[in-house]
Amino acid sequence: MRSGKFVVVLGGLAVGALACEESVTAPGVCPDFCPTGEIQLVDTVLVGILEGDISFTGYAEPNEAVWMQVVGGGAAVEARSVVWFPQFRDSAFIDSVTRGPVVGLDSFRLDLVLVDHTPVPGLEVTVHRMPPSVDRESDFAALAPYFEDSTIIGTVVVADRLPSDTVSAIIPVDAFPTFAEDSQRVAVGLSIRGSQPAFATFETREANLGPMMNRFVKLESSESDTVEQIDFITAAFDSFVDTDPPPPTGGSLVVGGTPSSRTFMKVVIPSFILDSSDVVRAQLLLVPVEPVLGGPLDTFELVAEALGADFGAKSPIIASVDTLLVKTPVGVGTMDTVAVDISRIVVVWQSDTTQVRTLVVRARFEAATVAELRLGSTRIPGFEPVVRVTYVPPFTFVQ
Amino acid sequence: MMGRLALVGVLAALSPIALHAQNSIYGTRGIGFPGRTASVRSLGLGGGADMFDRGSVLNPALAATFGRVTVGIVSGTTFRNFSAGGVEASGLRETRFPLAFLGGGIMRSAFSYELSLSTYAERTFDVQTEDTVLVDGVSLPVRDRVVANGAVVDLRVAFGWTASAKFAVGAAFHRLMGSSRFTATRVFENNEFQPFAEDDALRFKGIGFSAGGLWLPTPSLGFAATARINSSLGGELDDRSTADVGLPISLGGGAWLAFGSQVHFTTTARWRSWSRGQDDLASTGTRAFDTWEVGSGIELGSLGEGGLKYPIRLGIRYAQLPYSPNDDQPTEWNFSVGTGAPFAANRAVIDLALQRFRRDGAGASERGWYFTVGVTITPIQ
Repeated sequence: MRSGKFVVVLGGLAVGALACEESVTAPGVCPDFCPTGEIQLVDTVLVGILEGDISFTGYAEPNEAVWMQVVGGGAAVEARSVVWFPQFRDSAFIDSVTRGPVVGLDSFRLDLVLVDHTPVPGLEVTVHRMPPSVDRESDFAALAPYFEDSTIIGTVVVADRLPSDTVSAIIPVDAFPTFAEDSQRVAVGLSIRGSQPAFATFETREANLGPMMNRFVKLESSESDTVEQIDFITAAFDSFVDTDPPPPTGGSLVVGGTPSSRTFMKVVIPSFILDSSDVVRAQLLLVPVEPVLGGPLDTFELVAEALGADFGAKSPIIASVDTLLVKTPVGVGTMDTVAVDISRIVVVWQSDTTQVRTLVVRARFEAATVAELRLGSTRIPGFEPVVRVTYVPPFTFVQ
Repeated sequence: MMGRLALVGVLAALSPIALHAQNSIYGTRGIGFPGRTASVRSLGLGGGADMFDRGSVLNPALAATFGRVTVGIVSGTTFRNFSAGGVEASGLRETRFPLAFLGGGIMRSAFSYELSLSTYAERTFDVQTEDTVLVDGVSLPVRDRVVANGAVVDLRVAFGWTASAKFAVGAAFHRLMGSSRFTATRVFENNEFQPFAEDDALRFKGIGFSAGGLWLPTPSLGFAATARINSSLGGELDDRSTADVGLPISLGGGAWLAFGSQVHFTTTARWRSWSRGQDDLASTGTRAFDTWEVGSGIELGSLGEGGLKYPIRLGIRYAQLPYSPNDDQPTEWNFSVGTGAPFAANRAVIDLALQRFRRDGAGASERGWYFTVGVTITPIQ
């Protein structure tokens, strides 16, 4: 009998233990057998919620940007890139350890990493010789003489190439006749010629894959007469210059361009949304007042960020990680409304009531292209920025 | 003394949150699915012994039957499936602790006490739906999930008085408490939209009073009756009060008949006026009905001296369910079997019961098994 009792007790405990795994999720049979209460979704456009909007310029110069751009062929805004390389040494590596004196120079090769370009058949970027002594602060007009036909020393074929492709131009040794007098320094300019508007964008030294100048040299070796080798240097300075765009419409806001502009907006979202609801999507709707300026068929990315404090042009942005930014592509030439996702900013505002409700809109890569967005403001009736909010009102749990 | 304190500690450790009864598709409306206040022995008897078994907490007169300190707990597991509106769900499984009690005599007097925690109504469900919502003219597929986990818990303090060998009476104060934690989530298929999640706890509050009597005119015949009234069930959600829901008046009665020492027949009937909450629930589209519950069972053998070691219990129960989304009141049938065994030198008893239940009505049907294990310990003989 004792064993029988044991079996009963043990059986009860065993079944109980086996039953401890829960499985309670069931498909809803609504509305009859669903809980009372519904997750509602409200989508609304909030107009007149900007307490202030203003643009400031000068946050980044092209020589600080991660890209440089070449725009030509009759585009509304033209741009030319300029690259200065440091001094080549009198010797070069024969192998990974040994250096040998340069005794002969065969040719050069300019390597560029392509970011994007207008899909124009046969598009080429022309390479120009520039004196290394040219003032690096020169503007488009001052550099114009160095982009004449007589300065052409090579071409880079970019048509049909993919982003991140390395494109090259072979430059003959006599392209730099004053190479020795210039202390073995070279500088080049890049332009797009022809009659078809087009652009090409390349990475700069700020992106760590900037322009590279290779030279094909003959080196004196201790074991044989000479060896042929490739010696290379990376850019010391790279930038681009552009023509002045037409002045913006009075009262408009500006984002992008060179030097870069940012637009600040102080937003007042009603408290019943911000304090009591769950915002599932918030978009800042920006209305261009002019076609977006830039390279033909180019696109650029806008981002919106929250300010940590609001005291004008130098207000600090809440530290953000680029991968967390929601990027909004904008096509050059468009007049379409631009919707910038600010959901994460609104979440920050919801979680920290002391946070200033001001945001800044800027180009993701500032001063990297000539693209510029000119937007309506509160000073241009009917074109002011608005916020579209999609939110879930408080869920009503009902007994 | 230390033993008593330990038992009080064990009972106190049974959080009200853990005291949930079996769940049901019929538990998504009203205040939830009504809990059972039956011991495992009574469950095996189809609820027929609810008025007579002291492990059940329906009749406060049963508090008078406690002499020595006794503690008990019930664990129940539901295995169920349902079909409603063309939706079939199977493999659903929940484990709960619907009842715990501590009882004992007071100073060798004719008075006894009983403290108990039981499920008044189960508020646990986990419902997932898929839908399409329209945002700015664009259809967005969404997946919603509403989860509630908790129960309305009945904390009862009962006192019983043994007036004579044939008659006992009792009264109890009930504090309705407990909470149900809700979580509502919505996930959008379009990742432009952030997922939505909100959770909150609905805390319940209310009081009730009950009284009952137990009459044993002969050694083989007994009768019992009980009545209970409750306040409305209030709720507090995020520090604000929710609408009250009227709770029922409850009237119950039962009879017990012994055929010799080894065969017992017992039956219990109860009526509850759940429709008192109708006006409070009308806005939610819930229909509230009064309910009848009738359970009867027969026990072959007993755990007492000279009895069988493993009694066999058989029972049948019919119950109406209080809440419906329409005018069709759901009903429930239970068919049960159970047994029990003493252990630890007869200081403890383990009871097992297995119920087959079928619930129908209001456009749904639910089938399942409810397996319960109860342990009752009387440590000081």
